[in-house]
Amino acid sequence: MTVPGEGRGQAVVDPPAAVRPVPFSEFILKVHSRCNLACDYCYMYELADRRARTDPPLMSTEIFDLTCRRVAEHVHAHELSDARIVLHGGEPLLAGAATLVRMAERLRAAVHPAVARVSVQTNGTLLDDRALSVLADAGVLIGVSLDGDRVANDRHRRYASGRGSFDDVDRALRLLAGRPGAYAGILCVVDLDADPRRTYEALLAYRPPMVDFLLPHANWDAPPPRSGRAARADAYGSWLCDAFDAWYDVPVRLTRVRLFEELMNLLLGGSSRTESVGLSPVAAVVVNTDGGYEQVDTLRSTYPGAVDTDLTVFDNSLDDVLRHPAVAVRQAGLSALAADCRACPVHLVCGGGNYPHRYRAGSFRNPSVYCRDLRLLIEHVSGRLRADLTGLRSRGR
Amino acid sequence: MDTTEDGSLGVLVDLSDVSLADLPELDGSPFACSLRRILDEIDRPQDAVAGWNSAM
Repeated sequence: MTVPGEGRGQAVVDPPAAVRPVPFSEFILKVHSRCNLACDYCYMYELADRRARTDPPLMSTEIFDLTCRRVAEHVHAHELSDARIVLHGGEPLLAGAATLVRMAERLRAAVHPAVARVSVQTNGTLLDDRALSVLADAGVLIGVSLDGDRVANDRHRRYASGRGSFDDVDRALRLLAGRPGAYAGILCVVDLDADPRRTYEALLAYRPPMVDFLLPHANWDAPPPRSGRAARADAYGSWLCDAFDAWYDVPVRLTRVRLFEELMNLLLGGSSRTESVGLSPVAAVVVNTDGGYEQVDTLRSTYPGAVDTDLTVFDNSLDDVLRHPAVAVRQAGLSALAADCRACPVHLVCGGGNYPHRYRAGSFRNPSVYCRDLRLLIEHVSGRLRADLTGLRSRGR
Repeated sequence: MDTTEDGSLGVLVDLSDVSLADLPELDGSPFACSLRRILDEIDRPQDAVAGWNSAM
């Protein structure tokens, strides 16, 4: 058995009862493993597993061709109508926009008659007018990472020289705002030293169709920074409550916020479409530049080897990956939660929180290191919904 | 908040007496958008899967 922290892959002790696997519908291709930024919280380069530094920089043509074949056979075998494909890194634009478009075209042709919805998640620094035109004209959606205003963003998102990235990302987002058909949205990592309302408003200035607030990757063995505003144990929850109110208290929705919308849907009895919250099965798989199948890359924040499956595009199908115990656990819903979580009244909503955040000393069967934050946010959102529903009912009488 | 059988706080919100007809036609608030989504899901249930959260 693999021992976490000492080898490749995850030891799944006490695996949950077998469930029928949900086919992968989201395929994350690490097309370029290097990055031109040196963000201090980067889970690929700065946290527990730093092997990305020595991975092949580029996905080779041979590995890309095999990946297309594996994705297509999976999509066709499971009769999927569409597939979400993310070209990712590192920084994917280091491969060049024209290369990314060629990849998108190849992937679309491979999965036909299913529809491939291809996107790029970029740090934005290389997204100039020409690159944007090439990607947008080819129907590739673009998501950009930005952590708020200049001060907030440049606190963590810097070049190796120490220079902040804000000016370059600001330029890119202004361009992207002019191509709404290609604009997927903005990812923002929560920083307790930044004001939540100001952060939300800074993102809103770029007219994103969607925003998501991400908690910094942390776990019980490497807890999140709690400084500044934040000596309190639920400071991230408090920050998110303030951001929620800034987003929610408007007569017309100005943008979508993925985390908040998924929480609201869960509180209303629905299900989630993000791995951050809820108990929906995770249907995403990563193909690394070396052709290895991996679990979601954020697990690199926990221990070296946590993402590994020891399966590759050379030798294995994606159905082989679906049968991997550590992949099955991510589709097991309630039965994969810690006993403490199952006894908690909010577990159907938080779903135990984002999986990497549950890690402690060799096991993921723990509450999230953000448990108190999630509880605070969920109860806050629930209270806001109840109040509005009370108003709605009284109007209807 | 509601109290559940085990005495703990429940956070789920009861929608049993809400319909789309209760929503003002032009109300595009986050609250109204969330109600429309869940009522639509109730009408047309689908198996949801969780997407990766490091991309939009």
